[in-house]
Amino acid sequence: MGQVFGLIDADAFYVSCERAFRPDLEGRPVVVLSNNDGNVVARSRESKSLGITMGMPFFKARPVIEKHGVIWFSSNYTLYGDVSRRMFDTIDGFVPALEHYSIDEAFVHFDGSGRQEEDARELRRTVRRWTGIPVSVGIGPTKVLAKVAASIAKKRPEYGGVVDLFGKDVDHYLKDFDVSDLWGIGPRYARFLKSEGEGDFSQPDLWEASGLPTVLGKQRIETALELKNSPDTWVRKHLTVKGLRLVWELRGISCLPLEVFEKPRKGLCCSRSFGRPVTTVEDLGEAVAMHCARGGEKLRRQRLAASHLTVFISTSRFRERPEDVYSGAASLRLPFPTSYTPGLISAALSLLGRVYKPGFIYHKAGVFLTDVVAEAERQQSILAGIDDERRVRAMRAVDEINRRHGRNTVRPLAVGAGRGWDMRRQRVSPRYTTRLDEVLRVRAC
Amino acid sequence: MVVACIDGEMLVKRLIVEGGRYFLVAENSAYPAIELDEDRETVIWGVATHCIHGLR
Repeated sequence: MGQVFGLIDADAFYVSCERAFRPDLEGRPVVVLSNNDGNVVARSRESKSLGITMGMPFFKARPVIEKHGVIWFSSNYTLYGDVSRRMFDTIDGFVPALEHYSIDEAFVHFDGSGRQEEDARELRRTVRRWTGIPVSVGIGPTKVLAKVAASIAKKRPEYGGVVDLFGKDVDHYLKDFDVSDLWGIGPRYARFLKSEGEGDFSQPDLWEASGLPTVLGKQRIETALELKNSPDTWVRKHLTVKGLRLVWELRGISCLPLEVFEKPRKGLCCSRSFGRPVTTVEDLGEAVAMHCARGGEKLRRQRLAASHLTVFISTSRFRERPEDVYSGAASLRLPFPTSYTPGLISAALSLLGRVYKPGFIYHKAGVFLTDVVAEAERQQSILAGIDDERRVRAMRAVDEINRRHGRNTVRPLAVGAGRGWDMRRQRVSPRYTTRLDEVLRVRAC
Repeated sequence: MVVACIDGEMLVKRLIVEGGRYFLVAENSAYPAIELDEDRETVIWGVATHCIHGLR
């Protein structure tokens, strides 16, 4: 018996976070919007059935939202991040190993007791009780099959949120599973697989030699089962070695281990689109400085330092006249790896001066901090240097104050006071779990 | 002591079970007990286990 993989996937995660503190929203249509209230990024079941699609622009969804009284929220990443942490902490207590796959999904190992389905149901109940978040669980002998199982669990309520494919006849499930819903099959591969005759199906010997039941008669691949039964050589040729791993995983041969350790960061990016059009170099400078402050804070939290800094600015790509579209980026190597915010800001502002062109309506600005090294591993050559002790202490004090009293309590002056470019978030819920002044209020009488 | 959501409103009350009937009772006797029946949509959101405020 091999490893038992599980995928634990929160149902409409952002919506569920909002509902966890608003039980009155249960059963009602709810959506959560992206940054700047741009697009729909999470939908409750009820909103889905009203025809609101993922990624739909808010203005397009608005008529439906108003007609049916759909409740909408701006995104509240402080809340979602913290609820996610609680969810992972809860799961962690149940399983021998866990991989944080995304904000709302975790891959896990179940122990080899053979009771994984009962364990999964217990886990599901506990996560719901302790965090308020409903999750679906998929179980299988590989990650890909666990993922397939989880999406079946989501689509088919009769399974009660848990589907276990371990030791089962997988083909029975794969024959109705659309190949484009497979993990790793993007829209382009899906189009390729489904397009008649485009694939190299003209070599029957190749398919026959595979010894697998072939799909020769059909000339295209629509379901996960058909992909599973495709010959290795063909898969490798058209879908690369990654596709081959996926196919093997479908066959129950585990190729993708659990990634328990976080990969060391190669770099980080802080960027955001503006809440309103920005034209002046001063406003851009404030935004860039803000991103440097965030980036510096992120570096310090992970005890890292960056050696390379890039600044980029861009207009919207969707402007009507091509001459109104512009994007520019510039980078420089810092004198030594650093996480000192004022140093990052002055470097970034000099770069901004090089890429800024007046006369454009800017939509987005950001910084990349790359060539990242661990603080402890920094080379301490006399020429290279490191942040001196006073600067390190100053940053530590700033981070501590901001941690206790909320982000931006202390911030560099370069960030400005007005924040005219800040995000548009018309309807953001309280940060129930991380701010004492925003906790849930309850009436006693 | 429980936090309950009754018809969309969050309340903190004492939950009392008597002869198969459920009541939410306020500590302040000026407020009537609320019986939980099928007419009211009720979610017991959680049980109060700890208080972080000084009570004096």
